[in-house]
Amino acid sequence: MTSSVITNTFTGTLHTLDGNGDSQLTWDKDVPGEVEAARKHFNRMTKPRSKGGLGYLAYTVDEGGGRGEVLREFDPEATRIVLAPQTVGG
Amino acid sequence: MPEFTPISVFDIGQWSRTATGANTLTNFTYWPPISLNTTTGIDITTQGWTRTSPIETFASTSSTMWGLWNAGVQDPVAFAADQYFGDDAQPQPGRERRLAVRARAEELLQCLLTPEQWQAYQANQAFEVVGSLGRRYRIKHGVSGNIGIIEHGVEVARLCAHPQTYDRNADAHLPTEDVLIGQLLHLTSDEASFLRVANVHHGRIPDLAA
Repeated sequence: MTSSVITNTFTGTLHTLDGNGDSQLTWDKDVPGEVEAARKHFNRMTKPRSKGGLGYLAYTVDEGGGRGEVLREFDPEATRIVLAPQTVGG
Repeated sequence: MPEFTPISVFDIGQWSRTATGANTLTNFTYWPPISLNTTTGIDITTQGWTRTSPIETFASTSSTMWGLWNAGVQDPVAFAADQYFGDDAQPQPGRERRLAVRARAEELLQCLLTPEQWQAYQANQAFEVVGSLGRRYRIKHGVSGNIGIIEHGVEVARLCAHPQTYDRNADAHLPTEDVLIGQLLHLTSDEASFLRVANVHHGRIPDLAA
């Protein structure tokens, strides 16, 4: 008798809005190195400018959902995160 | 990393100019446009342009914006064709890259919108969202002053707030579709903070229903 192990590969994508349209970084939540790389990027982008960061805003989004939720800390369980530059009045 | 000039004031109102030759260009919103009190930008009023809207201003420290502005004032047809008219534009250096950037941003925008919102955007270059506090907004394709507050189907205010469009790290500007994404996500997730930074160009922000 053989047994099989089904591994659920979970991949999240982090979109950073930039001059390229967006830059994407993906991670598999079961691969610590990928999670850590995504977390580092998230923290670097969202760190307040007053503390030397870039002050980006982070949102979790559902595909085709038409809305976002503010994300304060990196969530490896999120399927899609968008990082947007700070909103300014025009 | 560019050198940044001291803060200068841009005028983001509408201007028009009839170009010489076969191409005629009138009444388009020019961004990033006008220098009012700078030694860096070209004075638009000396280049044959006339104002077609009330004055609206904002401040910027970006020398890249001034570079774009100067290019547009000196050769408005080529600049506008390249920046605004997409597939109909005449060939321009770097145009292919800009089209690719826009396509990429548009792909993400489509991914985030509901099918109904995407259909509306395709048809009218605008889509509606409900803010996290419940007000209804219409986001039009654009960067500045492109958000209307809708009450009973009527626009009662026009707002201007957007992601900082100049990416210092990449020395590049966000494509317009990225601006719409930022506006969509901010309004739907934290309407109150969006309204705190937004400038009201006209009208009033309606109270929330009790």
